[in-house]
Amino acid sequence: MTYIVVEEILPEILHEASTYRKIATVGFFLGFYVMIYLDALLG
Amino acid sequence: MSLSSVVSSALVNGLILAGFTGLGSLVAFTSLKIPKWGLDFSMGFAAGIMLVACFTSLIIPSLEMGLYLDLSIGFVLGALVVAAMDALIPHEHLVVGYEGPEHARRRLKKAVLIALAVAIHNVPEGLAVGVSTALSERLGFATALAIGLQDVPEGIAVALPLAVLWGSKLKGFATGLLTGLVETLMAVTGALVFSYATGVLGVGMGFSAGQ
Repeated sequence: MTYIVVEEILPEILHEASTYRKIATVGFFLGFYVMIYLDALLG
Repeated sequence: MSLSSVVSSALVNGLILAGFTGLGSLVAFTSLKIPKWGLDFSMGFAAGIMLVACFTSLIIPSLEMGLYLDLSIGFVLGALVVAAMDALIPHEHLVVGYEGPEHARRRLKKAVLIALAVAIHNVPEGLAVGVSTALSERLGFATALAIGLQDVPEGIAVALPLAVLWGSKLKGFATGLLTGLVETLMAVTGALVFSYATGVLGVGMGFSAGQ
């Protein structure tokens, strides 16, 4: 999953033509938190 | 855990993934327009989930088992395999644009290329769920739930443009669901292979993390 994140997703959301980079960053932090929370809860 | 128990858990977890993708694909039946900021947000969300899932479901458990070399070998192999898929399978990103062999560019419609991009992205996700289920059913379920959450916007991203392109809501929905079933297939395959080959479970965990 690391390759997909680094090579496919991050360039897409951080591309200069991408209009909502800040919103994508908020999404990243939320996703990061949700997975940590789910791991603590269920893992 | 018995083999049949692991495989049935992987199947359930894989169906959770497909179910979430199918849920997103249902948008093909509505006249909803997804704003661009919504897609950017969901891609960021997916990146956050995937990065943490790599560590909590694959890298940390294999390090705790002392499988340092297996993890490293699998990690490099996984990255190489998905890099080859990235180079050989024609696909299209919404912002970055077309990737893959030039000769295939004009043969396939843009929406099909976007569906292929999501399908490539789904291979390591399904495999990660399968491998983590082979390690622990609870871990597999947690991974499936988290990855499933970010599959909803993926289903939307595939089903909506295809429904418009083909003029068929059902076809758009079915293709979106199909990209989710790629994850189910990979989850069951991963669980089956690494339940048999327990000696290379660390390689499998590294392989999924590296992809």
